[in-house]
Amino acid sequence: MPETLTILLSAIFVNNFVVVQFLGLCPFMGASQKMTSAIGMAAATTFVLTLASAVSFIIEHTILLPLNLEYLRIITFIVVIAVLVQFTEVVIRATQPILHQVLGIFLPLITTNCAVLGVALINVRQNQSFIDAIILGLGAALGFSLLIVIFSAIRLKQESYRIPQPFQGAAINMISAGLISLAFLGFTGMNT
Amino acid sequence: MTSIILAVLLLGGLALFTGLLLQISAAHLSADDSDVINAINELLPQSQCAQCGFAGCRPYAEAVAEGESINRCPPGGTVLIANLAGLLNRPELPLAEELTAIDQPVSAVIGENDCIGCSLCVKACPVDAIIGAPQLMHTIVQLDCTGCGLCLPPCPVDCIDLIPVSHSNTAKLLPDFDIPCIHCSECMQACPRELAPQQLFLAANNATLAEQLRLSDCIECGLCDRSCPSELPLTRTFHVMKHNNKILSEERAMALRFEKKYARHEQRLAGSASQVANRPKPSEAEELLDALRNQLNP
Repeated sequence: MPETLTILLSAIFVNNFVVVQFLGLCPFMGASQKMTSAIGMAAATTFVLTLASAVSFIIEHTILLPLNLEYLRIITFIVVIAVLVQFTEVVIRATQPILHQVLGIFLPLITTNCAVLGVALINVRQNQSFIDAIILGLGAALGFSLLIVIFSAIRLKQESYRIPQPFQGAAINMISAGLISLAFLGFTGMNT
Repeated sequence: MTSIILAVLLLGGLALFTGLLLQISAAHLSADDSDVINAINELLPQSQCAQCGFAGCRPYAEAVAEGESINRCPPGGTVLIANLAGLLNRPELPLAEELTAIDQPVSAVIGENDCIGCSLCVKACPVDAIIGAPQLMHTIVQLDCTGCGLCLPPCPVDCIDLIPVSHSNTAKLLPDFDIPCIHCSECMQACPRELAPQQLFLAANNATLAEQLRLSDCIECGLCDRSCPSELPLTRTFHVMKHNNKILSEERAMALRFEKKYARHEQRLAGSASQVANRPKPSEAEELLDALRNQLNP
């Protein structure tokens, strides 16, 4: 149990996928303008990431390895992720139509969120057990959610600040993201 | 060879299986856009002017939900475009080029000396703001006029003019300041009504949030201004916010009225059209007369 807890906490804080491993930066920047869209994005990504790491583990160990089809790993995982994203989109469209409008193109783009494929491939590389694979997926998703909500709050507060012209827009967002990344560097080396 | 067949089988099977699952889930969870359409429709000015190229405000709201551009409403102007961009998370655009911006609210007025009583404008008005019988002079109920200009083209003597509404309130600009809020919370301790002036100040462009923070409880005493180390124009900002929120709620009430009148107008048109369609035809006249005679002399 402590082992699983370590994996979870390390995925959230120490090896955070967004600001330490720099995966999944596109939705992190794109869907954090508003708190509602940030939370919606976080929930959708959590769902997809956790399920994708579970399903990709099952496919890897029941189909790909026994049949010696490891070379099809990436394309198979992408298909699985795309299907999960599509399913999430159908569910959100039916239950939260306004959120669906707000997230717009970023919802289908979870497919190309490198964090999702990254977790699936890291699970294979590190030879995790089934539970650990899911926990790593969940930890990565929670880390992503934490970061996108923090970043959205910072952007909300920035709206009332006077930002010098050259720094307005994307520039100040990049700087803020870099500063958050620096803060998370403080966790380095704590996963023992 | 076997490995190729295996690979094809695996990918094909996976695609087929997951595709089926997706189809089933999509069939069970039908997409419902009515919430989005309602939210968009609530922001539109409900002038029913059809300048956007759609029959009315609601059809335009439906089109926007389907992906139509948000910059096609001249009466809504830049404020509406900003609101829609915020709601739908789309980029703010200037008004579409082929449309002319409406700088100030207008209202139609009939030149009553020239009116010949043709009643063509009565039919054209989407919100039934024009009153008057055929062959008699018409006039426009100013309170109901949305200034859409739809009555202008049908008028054969060009006696209708669009004039600026003189009594209309305009939104004031928020005061300018040099040093931003440093979140020191001094103003919260100074406020005699126990409000949170700094949060209110940051909610200057968000009417609902400002109301949640009890903006209407502010008595504009000016104590927060004196405690602020950045010398922010707090009280003046709150005054402008209250003024603008009042205008906003008045506009909302008007829009609701226009929407209801337009719905009634459409209903009436549909009703009279169906009456005309269901009128007895000349060929059925004999049968109807026979039926009546039978009723009278059984």
